[in-house]
Amino acid sequence: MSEETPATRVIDLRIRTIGGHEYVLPLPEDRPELRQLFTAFVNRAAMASQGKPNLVELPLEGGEAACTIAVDQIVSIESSPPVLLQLEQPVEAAAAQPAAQQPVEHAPAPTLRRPEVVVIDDFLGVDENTDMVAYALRERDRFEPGTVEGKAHPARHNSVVMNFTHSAHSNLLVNRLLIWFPTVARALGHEAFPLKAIESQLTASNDGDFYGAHMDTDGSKPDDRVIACVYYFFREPRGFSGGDLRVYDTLDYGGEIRRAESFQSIQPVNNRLVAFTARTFHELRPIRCPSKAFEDSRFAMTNWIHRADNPDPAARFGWGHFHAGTIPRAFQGWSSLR
Amino acid sequence: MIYTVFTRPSDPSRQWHADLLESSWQRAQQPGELVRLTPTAAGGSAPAHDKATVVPTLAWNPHPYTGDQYEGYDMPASLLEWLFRTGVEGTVLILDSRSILTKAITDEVEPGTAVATPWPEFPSGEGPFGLAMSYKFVECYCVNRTLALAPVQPPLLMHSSDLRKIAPRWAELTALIRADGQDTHGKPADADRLAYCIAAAEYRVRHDARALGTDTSDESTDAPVIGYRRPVESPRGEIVWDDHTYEPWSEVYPEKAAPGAGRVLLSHLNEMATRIQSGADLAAKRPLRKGGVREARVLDETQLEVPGYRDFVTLNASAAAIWDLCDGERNLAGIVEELERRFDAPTETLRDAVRSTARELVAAGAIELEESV
Repeated sequence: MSEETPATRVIDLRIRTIGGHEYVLPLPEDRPELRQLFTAFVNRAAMASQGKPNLVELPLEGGEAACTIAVDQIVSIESSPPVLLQLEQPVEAAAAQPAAQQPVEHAPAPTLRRPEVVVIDDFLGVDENTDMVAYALRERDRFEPGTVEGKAHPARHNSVVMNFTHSAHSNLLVNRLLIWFPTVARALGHEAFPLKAIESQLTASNDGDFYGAHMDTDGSKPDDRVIACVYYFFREPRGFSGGDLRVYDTLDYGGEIRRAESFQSIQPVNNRLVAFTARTFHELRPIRCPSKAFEDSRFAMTNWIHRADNPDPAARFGWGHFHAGTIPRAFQGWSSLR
Repeated sequence: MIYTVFTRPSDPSRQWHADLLESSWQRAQQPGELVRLTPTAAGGSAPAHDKATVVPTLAWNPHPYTGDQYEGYDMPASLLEWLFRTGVEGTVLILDSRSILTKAITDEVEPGTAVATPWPEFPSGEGPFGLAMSYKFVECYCVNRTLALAPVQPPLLMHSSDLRKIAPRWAELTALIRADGQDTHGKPADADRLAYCIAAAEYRVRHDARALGTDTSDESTDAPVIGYRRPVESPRGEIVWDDHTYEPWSEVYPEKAAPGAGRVLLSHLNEMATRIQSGADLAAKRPLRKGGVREARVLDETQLEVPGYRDFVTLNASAAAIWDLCDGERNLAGIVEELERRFDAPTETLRDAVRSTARELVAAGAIELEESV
């Protein structure tokens, strides 16, 4: 989580756009939007030539509001004190993004696909939801900076509790998830499959936190995550804004998958569970939390449902009653049931 | 909008339960839609009905994850699936499949409040949720064990938005109670009812207790729903009818039953049996072909292309003969008469064939049945 220290400077920006418009806004120098703005400004020609929209969202009024600017409309940016940034390429999808992003010569015309997303509100009971929040607050000291493949990464900035799988709170949610599993999996277009594991991760996101566009698995290495389920919970009244989940459409180049610019945006509503196929580009949009208090964080429990290559009838899940390591007979061929 | 919903797996030997309920629903002039949730095995087919909307759902009996055989798993799991897929909004009247409607229930409920039948045998005690101590194990799976439970059971009315929330928890708790609980007969037979009460309390759904239903032992006939899980007895306590041994649609004798709900049930059953035996049910229905249905003959089969349906409907020779006679003029009894002239087959066989084919054609969207006066 980012915290302002006495040494953090506030940069006064004066942004001039085509048409003579001018925007003046202060931005702390450690805000990721500052780097995004200048990076996008430098690369605006390249983005335009690829036909890509180039938008930057800047916080206003201490995070209570936001301003979205089309970077190709910017004529100049004045900064006081002056900003000297070591610019990097636009943040790409982390971890599992295919290395080559250049247009492929003679590539077939891509097919735009919109992934299915399942949204379930009131996923847990009233007291269960309250207890989840209380638990996260009690576990404050266990949160560590989030990583990508075990390392710090500029595309990810939030906090994580490791070794969360098999905790009581994980079991509570996983047990409920197993009841939903056939309905969710069918809605996402999956045939029934035996489960190997349901992996849980607890995250806290506070002011400035984000996780750039990525896939949880790309299928190119042994990773049997099939479905990702994100359960949102936080103290109410809500102490943050932003933090939307963006689920991107994909461009299918005959098997090679790339992220499209279009997306679905899902709000982080308390006690909501969002499920999508793990091999889907998604992003945690930056969060604004003016208080920066841990108690006002947006908490999430992410569960990944893993497919078993070798079905195990003895495997138990949730509270331990449910054997989901093989495909139940009743679930076989479920896609034919209409 | 009121959705009257019941769950009945696809089992030809028990189809009569669903037919009886459907007939009673129509006779009581219950408003809204009748929905049959049909747990169906993969590869299986769901039955057809004249009026009820049939929704095939996954079968949760035996339990997919525990293997436990218990019919109480199907209702919450099927409700979850139906509500998720269809997104219906309105009041849901949940009935046991082994029951009939004698009067219409027209109350609609708002989110947050349900109406349900009192449960006299609710296992109250000093344990969690005010349950008997034999249910202490539920503490392991419930965060707030001080909630007051409404001692209620189906038939019940609940808003779809509340049902959508509680159905998964209801399904989950049913399995947990069955897994960890024990009563005098082994696994708790009332696990599903208890699970419902807990789930409803956890989601803060309040209940108004009202006698929507009763059973065949009740001397009163006020309740709109009569369940027949208990046999019907004579005034001297002898069993005069039992659904387990009943042969549809044989004659029954209401006058032998003790006055009350049991006698009312048998009267309904007898009326329906008489209509079916005489073919009067067929005379009351006239099949009308729906617009846009196209027909093709392929060798000895007739195929129908129905607008809005993905697959062709293939009719064998007998079904095709019946389809050909759906001319908008004849009722189903008239079709039977014509078939009797053409074919040497028992009348009862022809009637059954016409009934089942008409239902299949309704389910396929090829015809609708107009109720004639």
